[in-house]
Amino acid sequence: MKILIADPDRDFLQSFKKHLECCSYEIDTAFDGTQVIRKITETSFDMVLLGQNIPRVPWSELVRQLNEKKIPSIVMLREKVNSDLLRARILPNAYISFPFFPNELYDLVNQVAEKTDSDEKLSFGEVEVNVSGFILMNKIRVTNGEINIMKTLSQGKEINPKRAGPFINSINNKLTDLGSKIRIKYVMKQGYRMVTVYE
Amino acid sequence: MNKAVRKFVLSAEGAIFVLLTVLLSVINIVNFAMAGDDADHVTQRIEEQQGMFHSNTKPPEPRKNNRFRFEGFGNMGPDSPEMDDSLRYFTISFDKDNNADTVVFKMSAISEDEAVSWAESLLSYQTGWTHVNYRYRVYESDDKTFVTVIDQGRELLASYRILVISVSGGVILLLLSLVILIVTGRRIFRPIEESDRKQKQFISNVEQEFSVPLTVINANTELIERKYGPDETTNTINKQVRRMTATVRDMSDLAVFEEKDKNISTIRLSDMLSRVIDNRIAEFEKKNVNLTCEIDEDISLEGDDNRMKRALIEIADNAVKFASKEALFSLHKHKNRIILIQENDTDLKDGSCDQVFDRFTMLENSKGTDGIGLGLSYVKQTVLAHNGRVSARVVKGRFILQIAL
Repeated sequence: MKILIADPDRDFLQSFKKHLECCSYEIDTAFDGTQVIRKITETSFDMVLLGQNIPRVPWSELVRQLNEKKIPSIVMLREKVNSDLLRARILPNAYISFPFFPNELYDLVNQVAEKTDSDEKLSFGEVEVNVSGFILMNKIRVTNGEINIMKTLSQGKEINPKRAGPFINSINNKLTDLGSKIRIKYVMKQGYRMVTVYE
Repeated sequence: MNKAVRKFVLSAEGAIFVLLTVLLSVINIVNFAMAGDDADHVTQRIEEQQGMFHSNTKPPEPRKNNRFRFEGFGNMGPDSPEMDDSLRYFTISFDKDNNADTVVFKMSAISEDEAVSWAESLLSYQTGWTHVNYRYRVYESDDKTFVTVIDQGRELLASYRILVISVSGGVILLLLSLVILIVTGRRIFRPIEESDRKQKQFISNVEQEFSVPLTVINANTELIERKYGPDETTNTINKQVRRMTATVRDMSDLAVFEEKDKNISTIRLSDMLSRVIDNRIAEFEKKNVNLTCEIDEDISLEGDDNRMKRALIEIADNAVKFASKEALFSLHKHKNRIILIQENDTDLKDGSCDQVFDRFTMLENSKGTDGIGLGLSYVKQTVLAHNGRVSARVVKGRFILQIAL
């Protein structure tokens, strides 16, 4: 798998280039947005990891171009994932917040790669998630974190609100926007579940 | 106007309103009571003089209890020797057969027939006010019943003026104090807001400045371990990096805590708290902590269940961390309010310890434990966002956290 890592911090690039190469990934690096645009035009990448404060071209513009080219992207945030980022019109396939451990990044890269290649579809009544396209009900993009929450719920497992809070809120907001009556709610003696609400 | 300034202005304005109302009410009640007292003094003198107010050759003796007699001003009000000419009054006598006889009639506002009719209507009373401004007294003398009515309009006019002036003055004072409080409130809270903003900015800076280096240090340590194998030095680096990473993550959590976004739904609080505690029973048992749960069933409220569960997790984690012998969780309703209490043994001194809710504040017993003092700060923010109150205190070796929702 060929991955492009883009971030202004050269130490970070050097270090993670070595790490990911050890996992048999083919790695290229870029320091700014123009380099990213040039490289994704010249070479075919399977995934792009973008630093949030990449100079010259805003990361959201790069994500837009990557989405157009159907290249999965992960944005490495200098802040915590919040509802504004999850509700943005242009969404990458996943977010990861600094500081993270190398294995957390490998896991995320693998998760995104697996989802992109899978033909899995999650469904909760009228709600359907196209896992490979990262699309909710064929209309709104969702991130890896949101899909993971829905997948956990579909397996009847409990989710930890300590980490899942912004994702639950953003899924519920997206379902509201889509006019769906399905929501993630806390159910007595069961914990969080996908339920139909009657308002 | 932000929430803190609004709260300050409303409470201060409320206090000023109460004080002004009490003060002005007392002044006016006393003033009207004294006007009645003065009028009674006059009717008393008329009674003593068989229904007439005689001109004395010498000024009357002042009342002993006249609290407003000033030396050098002579006798004022009802004790004035000039009262004889200025007093407007009438006295009607009634014999046993109820035949009316006018003793004195010095009135312009009503006719003599009306005066008789007034007097007849007052026969069954003793003293008081009639027709707004008139004070009457009914008394017996020489087998006759006398009714004396005096006009106190001029005297009461002064009292009414004081009432109107005090009410309008009070309203003006309230409006002025409101303006002053808003201006001073903003000035008082500006440094606090500034400090809060700087604290958040600092957190954000630390998060941004530390997060990438920590990631790189950790990644490079792992690369060294891969090349040369792990040793004591790399283990120490890993341990410290993990600790710092956890701290930076906690700090960045704070920004997410303060998101204004809320998903309102019905929170099944009893069930939610039970599940949170159930998930920690093993940890309490491991520490040999005697756990008591007194959770009333079916307690629920409207709010953000996500945030509330996170707050309950913080409270439960706190109990796990600091309880060494016993811990208690209680959830019940009291006067339409939901009361959540968490208690555990502690070696802290007795007294209020509300400072635990401040960001980055850790009490003496927190030394050597994980965390940076953000958990209970989050609890407080969540409770306030649900219009509740939260307090913490230590009583006889027990830490008591109480939430009212």
